[in-house]
Amino acid sequence: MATVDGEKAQKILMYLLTNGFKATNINKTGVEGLGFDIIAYLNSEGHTVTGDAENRLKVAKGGGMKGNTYSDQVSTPWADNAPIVAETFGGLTAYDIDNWTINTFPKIGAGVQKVRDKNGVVWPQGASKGMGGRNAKPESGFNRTGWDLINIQSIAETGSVDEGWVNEVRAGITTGVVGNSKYELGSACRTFGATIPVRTPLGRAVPSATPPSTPSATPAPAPVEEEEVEPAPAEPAPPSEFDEYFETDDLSVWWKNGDEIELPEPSERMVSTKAWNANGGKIPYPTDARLSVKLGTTREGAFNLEIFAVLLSSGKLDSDVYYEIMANSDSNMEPAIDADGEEYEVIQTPTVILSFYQGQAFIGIEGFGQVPATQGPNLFNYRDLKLVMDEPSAGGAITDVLVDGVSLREIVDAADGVYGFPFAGLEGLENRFKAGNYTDGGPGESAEEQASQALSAAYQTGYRKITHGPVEDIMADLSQLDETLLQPLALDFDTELDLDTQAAYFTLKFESTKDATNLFTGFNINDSSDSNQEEFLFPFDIRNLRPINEDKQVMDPAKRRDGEGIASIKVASKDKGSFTLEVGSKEYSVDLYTQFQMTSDDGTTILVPDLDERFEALDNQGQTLRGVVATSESGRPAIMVITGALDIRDIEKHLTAARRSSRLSGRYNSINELTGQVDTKTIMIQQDNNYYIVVGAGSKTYALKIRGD
Amino acid sequence: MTTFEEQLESIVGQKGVAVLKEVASSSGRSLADMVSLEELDETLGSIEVFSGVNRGPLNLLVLDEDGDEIDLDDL
Repeated sequence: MATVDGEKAQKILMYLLTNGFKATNINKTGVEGLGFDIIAYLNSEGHTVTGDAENRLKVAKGGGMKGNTYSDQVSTPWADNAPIVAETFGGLTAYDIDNWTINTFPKIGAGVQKVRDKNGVVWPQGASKGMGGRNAKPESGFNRTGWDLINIQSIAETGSVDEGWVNEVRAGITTGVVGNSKYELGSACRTFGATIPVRTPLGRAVPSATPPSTPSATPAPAPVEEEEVEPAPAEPAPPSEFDEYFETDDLSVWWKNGDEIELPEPSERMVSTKAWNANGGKIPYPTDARLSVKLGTTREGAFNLEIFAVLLSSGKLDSDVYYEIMANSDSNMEPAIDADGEEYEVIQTPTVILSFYQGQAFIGIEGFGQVPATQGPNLFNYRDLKLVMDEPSAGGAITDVLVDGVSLREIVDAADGVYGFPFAGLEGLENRFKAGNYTDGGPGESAEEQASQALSAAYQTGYRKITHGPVEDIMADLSQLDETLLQPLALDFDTELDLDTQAAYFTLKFESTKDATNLFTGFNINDSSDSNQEEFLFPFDIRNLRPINEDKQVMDPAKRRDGEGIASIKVASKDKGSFTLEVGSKEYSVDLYTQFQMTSDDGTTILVPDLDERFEALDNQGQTLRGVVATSESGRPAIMVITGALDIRDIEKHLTAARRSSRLSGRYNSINELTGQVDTKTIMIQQDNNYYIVVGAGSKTYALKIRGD
Repeated sequence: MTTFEEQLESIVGQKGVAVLKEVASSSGRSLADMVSLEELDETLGSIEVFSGVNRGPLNLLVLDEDGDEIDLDDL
């Protein structure tokens, strides 16, 4: 018979931990629990249980645990894979045993997480510290394998578990386990309602006699009866992108070591209407330029630390773990008011910013920096971004982003307001935190509760449920767009034209018949093939047009109808190029610019074209014509400055004749067959209720007005 | 000194004046009440009618023999 001291008691508790029994099951009520039964069992077997061991097995606080918490004595060494683990379990590591545990007891495996040991090897973590797997009940789970009493006995006698159990764990044997042992609590480990599997003890497992385990990170292999399996060599796991970010102490913070959130530089540049039209409102955005998207905030569905209090009260969380969580989780809390008007603390509502940069998406939370974003199990990478924008003339607001052709708004909306960190990300929570993936186990074990427990367990390892609203604000640096997509930069108009000998000429293209007027272009009776553009010459055409500037001011100088009232036309010398202009059958060497600034003698100024490459004006019938100024080969608006009074007069005549010719209707005019000229001398017109007769007689012209009322 | 009626007659003829007088009479007005006459010291060269976007007649230009516009805006 042996003496069971404090260290052996600690090892027994550690063994119970591997089977999913937590402190609150070891000591259920202060006078009852599995620990009490084991003490009774050991005594009945003739062992001497010291006071220290007894207090430990009762998980008594204070002196019983020698001032240390259960975590310090049991779960922390376990999670750290301290030397006592191998010493107790025949050379097995905590990871070996966890791997076996989650494959043997599926419910203990609920909420299983991957953990990384100090060598960088990833393992499944089952019943380890802080995991939701420690939920086995003694009444159903104690001695299900038939090994529990053998191992308790072995630890009591030798300080380590039985070799037979170690062999089964090492071989990954998961069979021969009864589903429910129906153990009668308080029976000193004697009474079971189910038939307990019979195991053959092999004696103390000697750590030094067995090679160090190198288990696989993959699920255990198929059972191999009584056969020791040569362990497979450890495979180095891929590096985790998130290890550095996990915060496991303060569960109120989202993550640690987040990188600084860098927002795009605001820019006053705007997309041109021409580019907007050419791209159907979906503007290519460089993948190496920053783009940030702020999401709305919401608390709906937020994770609440109160879950740990619930778990504590229902016996599913150790009190020491609970107090540790609550003591540490306080740096990111804010007050909230409950239904009774009472103030309580909740985790601060996150302000989420999604960032896109150099082909990779990031999720940031104000105050915590940003981390790589995920979508499902993968990092959220992209190859192509497009801005969905309102028409520039309507403000050019960015309304959505197409990420590899998919609407970001739709991606965010599909996440249903939840981002799962680190994985699942913009697809919401991982499946293991969704109630739909659990089977309802009755009161206290509903599918919802199991999912919550799994999430709360994952929270202790750094997992976070981040709530957010829909896309709220899209921030982009439009100056990063291709220059051909942008409105031109403002020019320095440093060169004033001599209006006696110089004039500015351009072609205006109408985008639809609604943009033209009866006068410009009217209907070209002689050439129906091309009536969607018109040439203009300033200052000459001030007699025909009243230009409208970007502030919607109408340029209407007093002597406009006489062709006067333009004070100045200026161009930018840096903007100068050369061009050969063909008007009619004649060619003119002209200076080419992209824009001119015209000022009337009443001080009204207009840029032609405007920054959006457009020009707008009222004609002499008060109708608005608008269009885009035609471009040169460079793709920029072509403003041609003609020098020479005679050339200007030529062009004026040509424009006048061309406009007249295009609108002169053969149907309503009498054309002299010999000269081709109109020779109508008399006409009668109805206007409202009045009639007018215009007729020539000798050297006079008469106009009769016949009033109809 | 020619009368208004004689002046009209020289432009629209006797029959034209007769029709105008009949119309004026039927509406209880005198010829002078219904018809006014503007005389311009410019020789009419031609009258040009221009079409609009709907191909119908939209506006016209009254030109002298040199092709310059005769201003009828005050009519």
